[in-house]
Amino acid sequence: MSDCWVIFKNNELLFITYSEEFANLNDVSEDEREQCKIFKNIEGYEEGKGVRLVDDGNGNKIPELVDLVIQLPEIS
Amino acid sequence: MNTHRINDDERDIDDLETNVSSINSSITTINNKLSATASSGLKTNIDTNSSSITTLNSQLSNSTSSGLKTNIDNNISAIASNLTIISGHTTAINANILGRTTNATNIATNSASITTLNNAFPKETNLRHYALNTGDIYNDGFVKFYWNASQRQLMFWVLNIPSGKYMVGGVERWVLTGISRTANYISQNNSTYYHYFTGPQLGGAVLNTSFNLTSSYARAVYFLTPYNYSAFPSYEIKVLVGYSAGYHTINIKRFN
Repeated sequence: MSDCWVIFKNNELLFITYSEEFANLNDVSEDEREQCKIFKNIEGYEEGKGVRLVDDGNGNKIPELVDLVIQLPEIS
Repeated sequence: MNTHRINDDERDIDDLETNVSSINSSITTINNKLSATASSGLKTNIDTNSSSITTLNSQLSNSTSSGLKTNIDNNISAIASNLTIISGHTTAINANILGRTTNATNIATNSASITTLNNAFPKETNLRHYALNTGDIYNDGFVKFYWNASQRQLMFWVLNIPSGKYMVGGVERWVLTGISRTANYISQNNSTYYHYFTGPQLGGAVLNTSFNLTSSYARAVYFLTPYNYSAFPSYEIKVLVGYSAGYHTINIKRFN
């Protein structure tokens, strides 16, 4: 199984990658990089699943899997 | 009347003595010769050779009885048969050589046809790609395309173009009823970094966020083509977006 890096921005999933060469913040503007975190191989995460960062009660941000809610398209 | 006289007897005795002496001399000579043959091993050699002759005679007898000649005759017959077979194979080989020549001609004709077809029909690559997955999505040795998930834009890297040659390109973004477009020269030489399609990218990747594909129900069409160089492919890439953070359908069309 290949490694997977998950990158968060402001505690929300920004992007994932399976290539180590892209597991960085090069595509994020410099002034926004402080708002980003990179996690490698989050247990239970797979492409298409929802994931966000939450506070573990000790001031640490940890990933939490969530059901991805996809808004249905509005039909007028 | 006995006419033999004493003088006659004496003469006979002398003759006998002479004969005896001669006989003794001959015996001595014979003995000497016998002695010589014994010392030279002549008899031993004769005995040895006699033994060899006996062995050879025995072997000759065995070879005759074992059918040696028959075997040799059979082998000669088999060799003749094989020569006939080889002759047949030679004929077949010659026929195959002729076939190969014909095949080579056909291959050359087909290759020309393939080249014609390649130019007539562009190569298409279709894939589904998760919008949030950053990584390379295409590489044909000339260019590679990269989906930048953090910006939701396609990027490219020129792998194999002669020095000094320009690539031009652009993107059209259609979201709901709005369409925005841009085109420009966007790279020179082989790339040293990923380029956006959204404007001159000669000094580094310059982001134009207005072309980010972050909206649902959208379509983007990118193009990339040499400015004035015939020996490099051209590309048209369509990205169809349903849900902005879901799976996009990407069609990459390569010309030449």
